[in-house]
Amino acid sequence: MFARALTLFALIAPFFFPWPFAAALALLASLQYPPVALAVGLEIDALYFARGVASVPLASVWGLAVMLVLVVARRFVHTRLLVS
Amino acid sequence: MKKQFSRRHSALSESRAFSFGALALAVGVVVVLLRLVAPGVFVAVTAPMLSVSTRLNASVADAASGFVNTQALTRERDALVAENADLTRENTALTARVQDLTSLIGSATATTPVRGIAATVRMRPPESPYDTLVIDAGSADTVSAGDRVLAQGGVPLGTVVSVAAHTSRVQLFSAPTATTTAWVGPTREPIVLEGAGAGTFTAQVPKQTTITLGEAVFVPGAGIQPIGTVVHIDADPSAVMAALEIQPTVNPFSLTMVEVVPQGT
Repeated sequence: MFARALTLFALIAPFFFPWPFAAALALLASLQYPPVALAVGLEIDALYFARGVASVPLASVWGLAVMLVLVVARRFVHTRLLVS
Repeated sequence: MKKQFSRRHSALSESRAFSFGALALAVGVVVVLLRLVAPGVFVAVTAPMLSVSTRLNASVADAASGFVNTQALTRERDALVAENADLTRENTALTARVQDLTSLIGSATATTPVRGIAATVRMRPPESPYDTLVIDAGSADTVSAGDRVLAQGGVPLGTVVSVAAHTSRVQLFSAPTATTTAWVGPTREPIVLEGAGAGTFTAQVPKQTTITLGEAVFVPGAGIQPIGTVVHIDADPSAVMAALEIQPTVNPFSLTMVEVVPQGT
């Protein structure tokens, strides 16, 4: 329940708070739900990215990277739990 | 035999987590699509939220500033107030200096070239004795003994009598030991001005003179320069000569800037 509330808060944070705060919330929420990192990254780029400011939408790229890392990490942790 | 309890791995719970994460990802994708497909709608929807964000950030900044050391802030504020007062005084002084310079040498658009050197008066009567001025221009500024000193409007004041590297002493025409040839009135009647101190002059003229009160007194210079006005004629019936009392055009007590003109100019 708390994780879902945190996820919802992370999804709306880019619209009301500075991006570092939203990124921190996304990181916390993605520990439970990894796709949240990519979702928040997409939202931040939708709000702030424009052609010329960067070669690639960095928030989305970082969100994707964090999501992949956490998916792998969660599978690893679940596997270890199953084995143990 | 004691039954061993082990946590049953639930594929459903894992898929539930993944489905909620997928839902969150779908929200992000929808936001991006909205920006790409309908940017106007996207701006219209997000603008109010971003304005709320701005106000929230300002409130957070105000709240955070309350944790700053108030003593340090007070000291910084006091220092800034003192600095502001100093700058205000300096600005006032500079403005007055610019006005003096402009009245002395003209504005930047003046076509008449400045002949001499503008100098600030450091000491003047009554602080300095013997009707002398101390100015802040000296040999380093090409001032030399004998140079003429003019006030605002080109009114002659005196001559440089001693020069140091960065200061000079000027003897006013009104100094008690100074004598200067001059002319009076429209008839240009020649007289000899004698300094009477405190910026005033006297002159002796024949009692039959046609000089009247209010006539201007001139000294030689570039053309002829007015130096004062006849304010009193003391004519003793038994005396052969009459004494003129002359009030200077420029009050030496209030001089701030003078112009030093080389000899022969």
